[in-house]
Amino acid sequence: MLKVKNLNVGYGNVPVLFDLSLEVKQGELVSVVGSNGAGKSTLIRAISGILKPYSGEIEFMGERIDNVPAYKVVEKGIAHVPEGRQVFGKLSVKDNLLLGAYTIRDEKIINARLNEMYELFPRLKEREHQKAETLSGGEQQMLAIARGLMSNPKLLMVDEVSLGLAPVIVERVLEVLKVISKDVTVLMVEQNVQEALEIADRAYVIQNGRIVMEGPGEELLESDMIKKAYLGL
Amino acid sequence: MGQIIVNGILMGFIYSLVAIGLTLTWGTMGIPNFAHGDFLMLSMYLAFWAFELIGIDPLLMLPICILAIFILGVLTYKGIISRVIDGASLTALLATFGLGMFLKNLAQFLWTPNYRYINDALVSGKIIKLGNIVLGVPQIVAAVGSILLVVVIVYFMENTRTGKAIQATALNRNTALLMGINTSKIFAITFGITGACVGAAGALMSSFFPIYPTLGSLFSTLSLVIVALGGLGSIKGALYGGLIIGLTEAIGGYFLGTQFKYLLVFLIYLIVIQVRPKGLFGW
Repeated sequence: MLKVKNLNVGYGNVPVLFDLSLEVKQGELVSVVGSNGAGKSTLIRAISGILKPYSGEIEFMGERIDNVPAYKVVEKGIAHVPEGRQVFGKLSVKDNLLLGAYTIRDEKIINARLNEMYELFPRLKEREHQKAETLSGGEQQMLAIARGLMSNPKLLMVDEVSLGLAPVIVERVLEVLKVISKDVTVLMVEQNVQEALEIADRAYVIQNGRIVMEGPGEELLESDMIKKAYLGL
Repeated sequence: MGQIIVNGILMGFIYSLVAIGLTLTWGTMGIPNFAHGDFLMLSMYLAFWAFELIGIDPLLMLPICILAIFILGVLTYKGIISRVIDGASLTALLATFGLGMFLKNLAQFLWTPNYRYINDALVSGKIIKLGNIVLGVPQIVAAVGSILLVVVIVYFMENTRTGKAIQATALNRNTALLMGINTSKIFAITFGITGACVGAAGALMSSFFPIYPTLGSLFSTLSLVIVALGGLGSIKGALYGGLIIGLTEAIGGYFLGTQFKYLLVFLIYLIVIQVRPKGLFGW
């Protein structure tokens, strides 16, 4: 579904990712883990078109998307839930969700999506008319995920869901992602290595802008390198 | 005194309309358009020449002025602002300043610095008496027109897909992009709406306000003050800010003499930002 080949990308003249290749297959939940500054967010920013690669290819559903402007990548079926939630704080919960469906023109489809999201996240329904900034961190994260799903994506990319959330809440958010991944392919980027590997079908480990390991989540959890470098075992 | 207050309120609504135009671009893109008043000047000249050369009344010119300055706004964004918006933060601001200077001088070159008036428009010279208060019909028409346009803009911002997209872009440009919003197009539209506001104000004012090349300086400054007073990007702030400035100007003119009326305007502004640095309705 998504193929990244020999991707080189960075900010201005500072390269961050070097010859990075990875693949996400239809129906998978793939985690990309690594420490702060390894280049995880840079990777999904390049996929969603916010950053233009220096070189390399990004292919989605058999089509090159590395030169497609960011606002059109959404129409291709990729939703990006940004790091730090980035909800539109001064707008209502409902308006946030509707903006997620900006690329959909058909009112009926939009309303159907909205109801699905309210079913998945009853809390958002309760707070429909509240300003998004009044929600708790966990609720804002749920809103950001629901907003991403509103565009009816084939691939949902989630950047650092665990950031700034209490461990109990992190677990709940990840459970929700696991449920979502039954219908939508998910590419998740996480610092929280243990949890991210536990729920992933497959995972990649990034260090200093390069992929150093890949494999099924459970397998990576067992590896000595992961245990030493990330889990402190 | 009643007369003074009424005059102030009528002028205040026009200031509100002009300032709402400015607050949209400033709030959405972080760029105060220093050519804002000069767009107003161009609209007034457009109304003036249409009347002078082919005899079209300024009121009939209203939609044409709105459209013309909307287009000017879009072109300003595409031709100038979009090229410098990602550069150093002051570049875009200085570019609008340069554009303003250019337009002032261009108007002076083409149309001389002389003051022009439209004396026999449809509404010219007519008055309505309410008790001992005398209301000029041109001013009433301009104020009512401004109120209607403000209502249209508020409705557009709150209830349309594009209006919501403008708000989202103002709040968080990068995330708006992730929603599939073409933020560059939104910026162009926002600049267009900014232009439409002064386009309308220009046509409405042309039947009672002198028209001259440098009138834009005063309106740019006043609308910057109104926006800062009301709160950056806040339409409600621009509305109330415009009324406050209109009233202050009228009352100041009455007590201090018209040549000193802006003394009070800027004094009030300086006091308010001491108490509320983000403006009355600032975020």
